[in-house]
Amino acid sequence: MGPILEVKGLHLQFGGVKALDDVSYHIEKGEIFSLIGPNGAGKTSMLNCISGLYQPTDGSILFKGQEITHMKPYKRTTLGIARAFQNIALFAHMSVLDNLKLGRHTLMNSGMISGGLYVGKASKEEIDHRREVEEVIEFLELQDIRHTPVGKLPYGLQKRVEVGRALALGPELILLDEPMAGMNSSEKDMMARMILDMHEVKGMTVVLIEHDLGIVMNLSHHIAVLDFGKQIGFGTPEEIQKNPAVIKAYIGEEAI
Amino acid sequence: MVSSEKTLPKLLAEQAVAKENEVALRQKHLGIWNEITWGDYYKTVELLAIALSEEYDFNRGDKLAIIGENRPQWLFSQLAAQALGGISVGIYQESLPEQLVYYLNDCEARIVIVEDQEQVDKLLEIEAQIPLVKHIISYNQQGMRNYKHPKLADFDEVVATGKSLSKEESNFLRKVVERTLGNDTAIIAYSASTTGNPKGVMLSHSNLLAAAAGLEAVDKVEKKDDYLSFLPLAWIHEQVMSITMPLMTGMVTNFPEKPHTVLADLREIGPQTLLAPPRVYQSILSNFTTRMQGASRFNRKIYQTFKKYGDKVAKAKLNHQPISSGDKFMYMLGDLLVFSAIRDHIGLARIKRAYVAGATLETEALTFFHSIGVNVKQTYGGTELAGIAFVHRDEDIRVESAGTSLPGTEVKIGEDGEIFIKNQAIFSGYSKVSEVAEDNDGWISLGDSGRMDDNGHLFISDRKEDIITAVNGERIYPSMIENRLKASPYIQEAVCFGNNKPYLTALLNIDMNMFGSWANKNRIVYTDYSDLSRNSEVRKLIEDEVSKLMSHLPEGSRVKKFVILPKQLNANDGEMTRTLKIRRKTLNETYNTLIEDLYSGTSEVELADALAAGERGKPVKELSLQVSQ
Repeated sequence: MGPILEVKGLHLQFGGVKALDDVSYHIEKGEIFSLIGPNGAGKTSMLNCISGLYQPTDGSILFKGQEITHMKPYKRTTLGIARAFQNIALFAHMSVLDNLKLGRHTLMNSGMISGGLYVGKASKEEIDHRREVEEVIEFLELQDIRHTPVGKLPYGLQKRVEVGRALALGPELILLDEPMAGMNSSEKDMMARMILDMHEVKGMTVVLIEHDLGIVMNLSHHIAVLDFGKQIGFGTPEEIQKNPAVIKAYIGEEAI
Repeated sequence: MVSSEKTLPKLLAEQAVAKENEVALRQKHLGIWNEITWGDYYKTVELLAIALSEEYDFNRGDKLAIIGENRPQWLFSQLAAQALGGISVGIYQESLPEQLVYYLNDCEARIVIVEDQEQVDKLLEIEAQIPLVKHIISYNQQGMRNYKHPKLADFDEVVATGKSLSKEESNFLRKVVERTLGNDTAIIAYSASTTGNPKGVMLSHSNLLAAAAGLEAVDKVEKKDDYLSFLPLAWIHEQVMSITMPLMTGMVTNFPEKPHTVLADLREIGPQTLLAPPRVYQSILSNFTTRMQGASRFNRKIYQTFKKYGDKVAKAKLNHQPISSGDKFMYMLGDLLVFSAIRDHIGLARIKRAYVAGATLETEALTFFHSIGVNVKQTYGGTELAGIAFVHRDEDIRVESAGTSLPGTEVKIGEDGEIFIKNQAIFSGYSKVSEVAEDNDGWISLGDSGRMDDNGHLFISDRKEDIITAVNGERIYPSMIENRLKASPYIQEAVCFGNNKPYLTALLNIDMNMFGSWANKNRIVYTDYSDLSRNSEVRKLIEDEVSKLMSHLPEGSRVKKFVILPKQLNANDGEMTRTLKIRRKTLNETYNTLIEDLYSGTSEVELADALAAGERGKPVKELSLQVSQ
């Protein structure tokens, strides 16, 4: 079986700015894959292209061999791609449970009338969805804040709920944009453990953007490095650590 | 009285016949309260017993250790072991690896049933030191898919093995329980020893049933009553309330979803019976006080108006005094408008009685609960007595007493005030023969001293060994002073010292709950407990609190100098028992320099090296605080 996601010669241009410039890599099914690079390197733009928020100028993206480059975002969701945002995209006044349930909205089929009356298939569907959401709550250990409005939670927990919203979709491929930003070390450890569990227990493919290189090197199977929109490295953590172009981008060049 | 031939597994067999399809246990999982009937309970115990007997060669008198949170699997494991004539040993789930070495070698268990990866990791870490343990069975497999160890087994698979080995209509369990006897040792419970190593206390089925029957004779339990089981099942009180009492009465035992969801689960279940140490009631009270401070002015006003009448009625009830009909009317109105809502909010809307076990709840907190109509009852007892032996009677309460003795319990006070008790629940001996229980004609002492009034109310003064003798020879009961200090919502824990010293001193822990919201309101930025404990405004506030509290006490019993500790006392450092009782001896050793400094003229006292090491070896100075006279 081929890779779960293939990116071929991707270009993304905003006027004269080249956000992504000929980026190509592939992600194997079930692995933890990290995108790293300095600020403004194009990491989030890359995720936006995968999730469908941006339309690349050129190149193509294949998900399980299927062309998705110009597909609408919600269609990608039904294919099995979900995303957690860097800036928390939750409804502050709604409870954790409702936010997670809303994440599954695109997967619900019952109409307004049967849903409103809670009859027949609609009630069964509701129960199934609630179970899925409850499994995410258990997975992320959110039981005690199930009914708390998201806006009242501390930042670290909000980030976890944001990841939960993506997980609730039960995706095959989950895109996590800096899930550990702004967290303290114990919260980071917890999140790292949960990412490992997504890979080990749930068998998901995880695409991770993260600045903490220690965590990236420990967690990832493969890494792609971007710098000013260009891909300067792609390989296993060991290969990346030895890659001169990557060292240059991160540490700078030794003056001669 | 219960016949001496009754045993816990026999009662299970009886309940399973009488109430096959009625709910016995509830466990919240994935947001839903899953029900387990008496029939299911019996069936699972049977399958597990078959597997233990045939696959694991578990025989009469063998010991099975259990380490985990409160879950139905805990009960299944215990009952399966007991059905085979074995002994169940509950071990506190928070025990550190070196403590597990002690417990497991002391009780000589060959099979250990544990909750999850956390416990399995601990056991594998100490594998070489626990040679007697041959099998580790865990019931939560999360994170353990890659664990390949010959000693490990999955609980569900063990039950499935039992199923494959069971023969239709063989009635395995019914046959084996017939062989169990009332005098068989049912459990080994480790006493929450405040000094030295915990001792394994052997209790028979008859002991457990006598204790439960005595309590039930005072406080009738209906079979539809709910109970929430959230304290360690290794603790004798929880053990009796969660397992023995339901088997005897048909009461439903509910298990919370997670340890951190207990307060929400309490509200959803609305139990009729509850049991907890003082710490839990204090935290409910401190939560309530914090929320009340944040409530609207209108709500606060209403509460203040009716609180007066609540207090009056509570005081009258606790001191056995009459009450005027005017006050009674206002109280009823208050109950309708405010108190019922508060009860509902804290999950005690349907409570018939809430027992305080393990230590004494201070009068202020007891009065509060009675003022809002929650029947909180002080109890007295211990591991060696299979739990409770004294309890407040609903219509005959003396505040500050530990209640009156249960039917079948005799009591006498020794010459030096030591309390001696005699009943059917007294343990048969310690698990290690070297620890010989004192034979005193059937009377035992739990090491406490106290007095009895003419109506049989027992007043506990303190642990005999803890009584402080001041330089002038006066006897001071530290726990009385400590309870006075803990009456302040700002003080979570207090420990007093002063044996052969000119005055009393104390170590305090501040209440993070109260100070958290206080810091919010006063816009004080802090990072953690130690930071907040060193804040000068916190110190000022606590100084004022202590001065105020001490002014009500006689001169000689006042704390004159104290320190707010920069760390919270906890069980992992050996400063408290697992049931959160302070271990005075350890504290005396750990904080020796600091306590001595409190008797010197300096205003800066030194923390012991062990504690200071965390801060790069620099000697850490804490400010000692004076009580204004």
